[in-house]
Amino acid sequence: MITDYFNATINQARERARVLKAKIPNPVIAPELVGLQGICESRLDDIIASLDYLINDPQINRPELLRERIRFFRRILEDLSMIEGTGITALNRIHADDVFLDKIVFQIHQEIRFPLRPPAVTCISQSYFGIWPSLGLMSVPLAESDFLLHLPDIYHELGHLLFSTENPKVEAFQRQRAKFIGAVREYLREEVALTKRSTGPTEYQLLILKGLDRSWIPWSEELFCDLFALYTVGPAYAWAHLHLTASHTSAPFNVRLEGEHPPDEARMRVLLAGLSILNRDADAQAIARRWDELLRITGHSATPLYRRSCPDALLEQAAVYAHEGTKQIGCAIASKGGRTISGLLNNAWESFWKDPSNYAEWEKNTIATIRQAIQPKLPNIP
Amino acid sequence: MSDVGLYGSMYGQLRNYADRIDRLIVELKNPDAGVAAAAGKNLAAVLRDILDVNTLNPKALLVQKVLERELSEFNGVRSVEAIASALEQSQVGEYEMAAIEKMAMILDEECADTLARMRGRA
Repeated sequence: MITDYFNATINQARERARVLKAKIPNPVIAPELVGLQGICESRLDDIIASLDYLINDPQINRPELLRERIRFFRRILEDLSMIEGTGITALNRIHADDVFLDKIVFQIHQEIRFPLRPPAVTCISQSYFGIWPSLGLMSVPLAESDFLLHLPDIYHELGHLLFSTENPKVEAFQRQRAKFIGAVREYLREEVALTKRSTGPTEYQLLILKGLDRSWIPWSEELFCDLFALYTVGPAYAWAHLHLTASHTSAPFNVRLEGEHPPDEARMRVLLAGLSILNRDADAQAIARRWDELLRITGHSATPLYRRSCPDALLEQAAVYAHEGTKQIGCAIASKGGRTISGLLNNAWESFWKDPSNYAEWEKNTIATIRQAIQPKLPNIP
Repeated sequence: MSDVGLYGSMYGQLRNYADRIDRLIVELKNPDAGVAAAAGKNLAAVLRDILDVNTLNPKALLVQKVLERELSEFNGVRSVEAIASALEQSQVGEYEMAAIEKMAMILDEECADTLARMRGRA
């Protein structure tokens, strides 16, 4: 019977969770990863307790609840798989590069007065920067600790943490996003009314507007993370966005209604609006010039769907709300000069544009100096 | 900037509702009428939270949009309103139970899809 299969599989998952618990190294060789160790242990305890419930609870074991039991089990199994592939893997391959970036992130956390616990960092990402909010773990590509131009994306990933928790310290930021969603919905309601009043077939247009109503929910989070990064690190983040788009994205005006990421053009527009709020108009102009040049060279221009999906007025509102939110949660807004890491990342972009052909040498020497200054001399770290 | 952060956040929001609804279904099917009635009221509150057309809560909105898209055979989210009322009055029949089960399945599938996209599997 399939029930026997599930009973056996649930027991096996429980055993796997126990094995994984034993694989968490103890003591952890770098103090920066003690938090991750604690989270992994506690998550595994939760998983074991949930599996025990599925094994032992008489109510969930009633035949008419088998579907619910299977759904719970599959989701718990996904939790187990996620923690195995991320947190426990990270703890089992601690490298000096991880510790270096951990120190950088800790420094950023201090400098910008980030209101939540700083995440741990691991260099095991297979696809650019990412963050696992439930584990407080940021993942970056293996070689990222040797380069500076993409590091502003760390600030964006921190932004996702602000949306992944119920914590009074970050509620003001979440409220500003909710206000922005209100503005989006108002705009879409007006568009629906306009479409209904128009002549000719409207079904397709209404379908698009319905799709936008759904898409703007994740888009708003992504734009707020972009703006949080911009407001805390400064223009370096907008340059990093240009850098990523120039090297990876093929269609910056593409509106993917089932996609969770807003068009890259919309992201750049909010960043330029944000720079204007920061009174960094010269930076905004320099970035806009390069961006327009990139669009011209690659042959991309705004489509009617893009214009309807992401009107500038709405994007400018996002910049205002996110700025308010960032201030309200007490984060330090980026200013010229001043802070160590944001200063370094902005300097990196200035050095790049000042002398692109010699930038690599400058970057190598700069990183070597920082490593010398902050790299720990810990035993047993490769 | 990456998919992981955004999908991870969406997954957390969907998962929260998926777990809550499944837990309440388990209680709703409890032979103890008192437990079932209390679960019905709690589930009705969760559904009303999702249904609120004026909500600006991104978590509720996300679930609302998912149900709107997938619940067509049960007349979309409009049927959720009727189900919430039935739950409040402890008058859950076969039709209501089937719709509640369907919602739980939709959310479970959406969780799995979001996770797959987060891991680059879809």
